[in-house]
Amino acid sequence: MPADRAEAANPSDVPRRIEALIKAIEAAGEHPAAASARELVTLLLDLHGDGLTAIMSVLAASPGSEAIIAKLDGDEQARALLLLHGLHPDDTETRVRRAVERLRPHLGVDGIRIEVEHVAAGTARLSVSDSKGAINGARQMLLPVEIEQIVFDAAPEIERVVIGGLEPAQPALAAG
Amino acid sequence: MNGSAPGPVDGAAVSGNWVARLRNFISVPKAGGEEYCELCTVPLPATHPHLAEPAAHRLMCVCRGCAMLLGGRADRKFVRVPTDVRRLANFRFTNGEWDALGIPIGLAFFYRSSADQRILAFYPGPAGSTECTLDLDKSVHVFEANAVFSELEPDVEALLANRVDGAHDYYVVPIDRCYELVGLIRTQWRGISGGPEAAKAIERFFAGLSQSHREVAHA
Repeated sequence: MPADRAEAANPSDVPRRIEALIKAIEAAGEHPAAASARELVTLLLDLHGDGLTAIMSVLAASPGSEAIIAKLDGDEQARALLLLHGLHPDDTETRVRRAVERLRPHLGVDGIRIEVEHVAAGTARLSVSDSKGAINGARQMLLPVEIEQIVFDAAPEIERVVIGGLEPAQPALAAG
Repeated sequence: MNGSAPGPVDGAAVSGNWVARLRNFISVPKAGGEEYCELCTVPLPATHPHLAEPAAHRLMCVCRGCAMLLGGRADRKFVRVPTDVRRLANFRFTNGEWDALGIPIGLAFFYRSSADQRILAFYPGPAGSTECTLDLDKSVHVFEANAVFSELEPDVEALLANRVDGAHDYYVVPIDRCYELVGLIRTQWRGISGGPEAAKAIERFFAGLSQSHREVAHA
């Protein structure tokens, strides 16, 4: 699929392509090629992960490393690698809290409060409260998706985002 | 510019947590349940680093990030367990020295404990590892005569001796490999002497060790 290869060359699209390709391979079920693909990816990730860990260890022990690591964090692709291999200097919870902090003023304008309750074992639990009744209509559907995207951008290793306080306000919808 | 690709691997339904997806994809489901980093609770792959906490005599399974962040602490509260295996070509316990240790089987490992400020000796058996409580002072001269003991990285490296069936194999190994051997023996041990399964497990373990070592001629 030559067209796909060209598509993947856009760096910000790589995570999306990775997800899509995993889905495609998993859709193949128990096919032997799927097992080989899995092993190949594992080997490559281990090779790169071990090498990158060694590089970061040397870097972390060198003077001025904090500034350098901060610079790497500012680079989209370097950041993706640090996140992928669990080498990012900030832990998952710190990154989630920071992302939610940035989101807070945008929601606060409409009287929506957002809090991080708990980040552990692959799950981020947030809560939303809506003092002015601003969450309705299309926003009721879009807000959870937006919040989830922001959390995943900051911490793509999170498995799921649970948002309390966003239960459907109209039970009639569920009844249909 | 960045339109999504048409075709069989359409990326329209992706969710954004690509790292979690990738980790799930490569983590082969295990019968014994998943392991998590003991410090930050992320799921761990089958091979993962270990950190020793010398003061607590504890070994932890951790993710790479925690190993990197905490394993290099100057105060050595946590120490990263190395991965190198070295076979000691010139090292040897004489039969007399070995017998003086009072170890009932042909296997033992020795490591320098920074908390105890001395070398501890353990041997594996049906109940896990047993500390050799016999007067190690009698063997101090053996430890002092061999530079290899003073070169062991405290708490995380061990000298592993294999004298099963007349073997004279000595390795410097990461301490987690010793516990791996202890675990193997504990689960395979049958009867008084261990039985053929235990013997086979020990043989396989040392065969694997021989594959990963580099030879070191020790003066």
